[in-house]
Amino acid sequence: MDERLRRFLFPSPTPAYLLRVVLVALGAYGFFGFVCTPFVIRGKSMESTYHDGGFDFLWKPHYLYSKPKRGDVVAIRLAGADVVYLKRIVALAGQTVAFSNGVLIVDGKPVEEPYVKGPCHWNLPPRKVEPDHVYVVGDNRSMPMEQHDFGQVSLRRIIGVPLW
Amino acid sequence: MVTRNKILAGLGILLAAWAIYTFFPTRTRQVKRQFSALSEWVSKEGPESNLALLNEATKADEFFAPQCTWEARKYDLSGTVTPQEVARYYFAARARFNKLTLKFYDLEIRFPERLTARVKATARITGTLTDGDSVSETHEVKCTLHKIHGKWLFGQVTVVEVLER
Repeated sequence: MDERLRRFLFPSPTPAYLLRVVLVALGAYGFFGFVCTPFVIRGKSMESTYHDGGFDFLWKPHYLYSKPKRGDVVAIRLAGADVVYLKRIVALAGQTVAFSNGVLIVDGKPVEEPYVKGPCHWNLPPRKVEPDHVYVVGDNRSMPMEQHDFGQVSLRRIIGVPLW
Repeated sequence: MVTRNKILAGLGILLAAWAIYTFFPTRTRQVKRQFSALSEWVSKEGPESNLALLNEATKADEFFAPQCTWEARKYDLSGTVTPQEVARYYFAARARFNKLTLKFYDLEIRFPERLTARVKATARITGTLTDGDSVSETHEVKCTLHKIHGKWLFGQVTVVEVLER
């Protein structure tokens, strides 16, 4: 075996090499543990944009210098960050949101939602989103409204966005 | 000889550490164990006989205090129940499932008093009903446990509404 290849594949455990290994391990732990966390999607509430069993990364610094806006898909923490909801923001604080025969109505105007693929017949009376909250809904509106978790959520619970 | 003694001493220390860890758990680990035990008690892998179900149901008093307060607005559930009532609900609800799994994540445990624990956690229930329909529910829960006769028992369970319609 070529000497350079051998040294690359089987490096000597010199102090400098061990330091590099430790730094890479710490960097990977910090990056994938706190900045860009891998996650698996469980559930069908975001079909057909995100599929059950799909894999993605949660990009946490997304809202460091910007605010959540309508149309964003966001991760919402529950008791911690191990299990999160993945939902789409459909209305912001102060706006009025409703559903009429499956059509999303924001501030009295129907909203076109190209990401909603299946048929939807939801009806929900108008309600105003409280300050420091956003209104989130999953993209899968074909499932019965009673089985779908949606509603207004505090901005403090939004911890990032999926990377793709 | 010196080396052998050192190895034996090391093994002795490891054994003692393991024994302390296992037989003298901290309060936090005791509470975590109770959540794990509750998960096991609720979960089922497949069909089970009524006798086995009845036998399991009678263990409700190993998990719940004599008076346990429930609050889950989403399910129109609120009130105080006894372990016997929990056992009846357990029997009825579990019979509707072929498979059932309850898991807890992100347990945050505090002890405001020596014999009281307040826990915030994410509960995830998945399963298959007897008619074949799938169930998948995720909720944040807040629980209060009291140490009664050496056991941490659930005295209050509240399902937090993270998303308010």
